[in-house]
Amino acid sequence: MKNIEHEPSSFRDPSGFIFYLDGQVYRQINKVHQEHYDYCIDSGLYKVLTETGLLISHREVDMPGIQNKAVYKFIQPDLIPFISYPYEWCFSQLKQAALATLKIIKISLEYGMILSDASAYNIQFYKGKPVFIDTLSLKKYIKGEPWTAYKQFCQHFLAPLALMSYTDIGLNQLLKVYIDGIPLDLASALLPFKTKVKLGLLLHIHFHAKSQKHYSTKVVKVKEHKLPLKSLLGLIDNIESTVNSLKWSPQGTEWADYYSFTNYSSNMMTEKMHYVEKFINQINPKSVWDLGANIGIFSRIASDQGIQTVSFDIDPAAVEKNYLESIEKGETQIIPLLLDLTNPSPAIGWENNERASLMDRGPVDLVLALALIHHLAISNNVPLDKVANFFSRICNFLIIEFVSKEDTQVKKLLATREDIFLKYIQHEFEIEFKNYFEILDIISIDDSQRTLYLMQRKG
Amino acid sequence: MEKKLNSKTGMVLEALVWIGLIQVMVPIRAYAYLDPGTGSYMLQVLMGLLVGLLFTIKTFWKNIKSSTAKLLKRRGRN
Repeated sequence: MKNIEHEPSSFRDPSGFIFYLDGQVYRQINKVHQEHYDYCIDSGLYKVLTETGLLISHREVDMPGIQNKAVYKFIQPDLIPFISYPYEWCFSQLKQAALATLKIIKISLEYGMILSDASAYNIQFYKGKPVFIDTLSLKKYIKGEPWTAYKQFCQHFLAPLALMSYTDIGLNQLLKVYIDGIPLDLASALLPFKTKVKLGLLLHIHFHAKSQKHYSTKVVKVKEHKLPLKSLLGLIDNIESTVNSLKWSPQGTEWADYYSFTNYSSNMMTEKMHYVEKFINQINPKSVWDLGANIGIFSRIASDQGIQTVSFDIDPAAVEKNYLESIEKGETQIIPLLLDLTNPSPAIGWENNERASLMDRGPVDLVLALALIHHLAISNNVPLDKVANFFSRICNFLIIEFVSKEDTQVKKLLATREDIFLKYIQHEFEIEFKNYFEILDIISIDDSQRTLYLMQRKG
Repeated sequence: MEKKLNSKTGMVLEALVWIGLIQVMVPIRAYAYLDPGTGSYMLQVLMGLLVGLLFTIKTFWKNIKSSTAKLLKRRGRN
């Protein structure tokens, strides 16, 4: 019996589960799901969904070493290089994930199947597109049965999108607290009154919340109540129109216009880009995390070379711009994501083990930390030793920019507070980082107070 | 003007949906036990007629539009 590692979030559905073996991902399909899986393949639905890039592709494999009584088949899905979560997505990512889920249901119904759940965690960004990864969610449609995942879809997608659009863009962070989506009574309470005159939001959020409350103390023989297919199609169509009507435009936020008022001249910017590219070519990494990426200018030096790159930023507007650019250019190797580095995504869910923390999803080959250290060391009061320790835990190579106190951006940070950062000098920076890294190269950016370092983790 | 109309239509629709919902909610037999999914299940059944109707109208309009567009295209060619 080989030692397989169960995916900690894959335990709810009796149809099967995900596991890892020798660095590859596999899914066991149980006999109870045989009828649905075979129908999905034989009807041609799997082919259509995978060809349109909506569903993750897989191949059936023999695994003689790990047979068990429940197993019907083993499949090996494509490996997603970086797993991200809905609370790390910008508005348009969540919206595209919602629309992809609805598109899958519409196509599935044409083939006599339906999505039995609509968790946002079943969508991943892969090769530049939202893709559904839970093949076993496709089940045969039973005539007259309502959509069992209606509530889940509204909690995972519609409620956060409506809140981001109408109340505050930061409210997608509620998904960190509510792992099964934002409760609809909470969403209803937080949405402004004007959302009650929008039919879709009135029905799927406000009435939905009231209906849940109304029936919470009642038992209804639900099987006696049917929903004709035409009405189910109408429901899906209405939800789709509602999702499509939700909009958010980034404007006036902290970082989205950063490069227009940064103290880098275009020459210095070109020079910095040149050296970042030189360092990347020197290391030739397989994967890159760009921390504090803004709209992803430096991330693209890596992703344009085909390197799988995650482009993190704290600002929803910057991530939105970054994502829209990646869509416009049809980029496949970059994933823009929201991240507050001072409080990175934690491990959440059952046994704190269903959704991995940022640290658990590393280490990565290379981290870019450009124009970042002053925000960590000065704005967030993190001593340089702790900053160096953090980077040593998440990467093998590091391209980091030291920004001195003479830089205007740092002066701004210190303008309204006492300078208690006596150790924030280049010499101390080098001493602290040398405890964890070997410095491979140092480049001073001409006419700026900034220095680029290429480092390799020790040991 | 168009906005005013939209807002009025929305209000009328809201009132109609409320009246419909309250009417349909009343006759359902009630026993005392908790089922968090029941509200979501029943809402689908309750609004089935409305969303089904809207979908039929939408499909009908789409068909008319595409037929008209085809017809105009053909005439334009002739």
